[in-house]
Amino acid sequence: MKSIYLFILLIAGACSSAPDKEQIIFKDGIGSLKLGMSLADVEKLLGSKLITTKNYLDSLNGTYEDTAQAVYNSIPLQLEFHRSYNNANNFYLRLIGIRSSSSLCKTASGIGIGSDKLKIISYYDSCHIKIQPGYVSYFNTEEGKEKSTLSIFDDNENSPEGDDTYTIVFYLFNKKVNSFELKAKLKE
Amino acid sequence: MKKIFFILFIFISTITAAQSKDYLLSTDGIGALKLGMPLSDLEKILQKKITLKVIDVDPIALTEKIKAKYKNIDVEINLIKRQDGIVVDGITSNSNLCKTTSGIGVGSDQLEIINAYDDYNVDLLPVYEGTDNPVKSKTKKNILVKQGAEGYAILFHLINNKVVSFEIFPDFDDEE
Repeated sequence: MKSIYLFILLIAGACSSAPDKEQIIFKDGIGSLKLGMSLADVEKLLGSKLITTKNYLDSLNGTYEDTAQAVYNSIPLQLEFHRSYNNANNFYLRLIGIRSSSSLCKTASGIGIGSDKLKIISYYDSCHIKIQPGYVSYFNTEEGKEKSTLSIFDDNENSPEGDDTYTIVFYLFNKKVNSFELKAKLKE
Repeated sequence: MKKIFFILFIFISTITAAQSKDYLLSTDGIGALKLGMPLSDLEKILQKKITLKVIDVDPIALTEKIKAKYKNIDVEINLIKRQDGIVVDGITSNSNLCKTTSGIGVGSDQLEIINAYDDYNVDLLPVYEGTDNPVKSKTKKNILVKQGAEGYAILFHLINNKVVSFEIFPDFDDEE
């Protein structure tokens, strides 16, 4: 009887303490979720149909982002899609933004939620880094005294060939990361 | 004797304060030398008649760079011909007399600049060297500081993490 209790205890312990899987933040995605993927490929990876909602940017202004909420390996994400047109009436959606505030996501060097501004600057010392007051996202800025946005651009930023370019954006509160976004500017 | 020291102290303090005002570095200029200043005002500040060699000589060129002395420091001034006249469009110097209100100037490092401009837009920019196949420099970096997304800016040039010179210029997005 004792051994049955012990077995149950071990199983229960293992279940309750099993940590959610950490995911590595790359400049072009999180784990297997990559910027540039089509909506269909993203849905296949996530194993669920996504509901894309036109965000407020995609109105009469003529901008083309669509937003969806998703969960990837227990990590809540906000996904931004861009419409790539095959012709005037035919387009497909491609992933151009992934935003999250999950502490399960970290770069290979350990930068994630809670990391310090100067640690990021020091790690990405050779890159173009942009620091802006407030939370800057696309065309909007959410102002706030302790809020700032720190963007790391990749070296393709000024590529004359117009290659795909990726940006890691860290949103900081009181100089500590509280969320991040991966952005892509993709070749048509 | 005490009185003489006191008067001397006041005299030296006044001169020092006036000098630091002359060399005060900000996003709109150095002391009285300001971006957007008309050529005639620039001549008054420099106490010198400026003879242009490009603008109004070359029928196409609208810009010209001149070297000048402002309060005994060497400066390079970019001029631009606009519809309303010729104005100052950029100032460059490597003088260690020029400092911002928070003491940033030649000799300051990246961290000091970041801390001094906490609520500004700051770009830490790699420098590429070479023309045919540019390579990212391991020793040089530029730091661009401006109050808003667009506007007057200071570009600090750093070598081995120390400011060696700076430029002040209007930084606007041409795409708009």
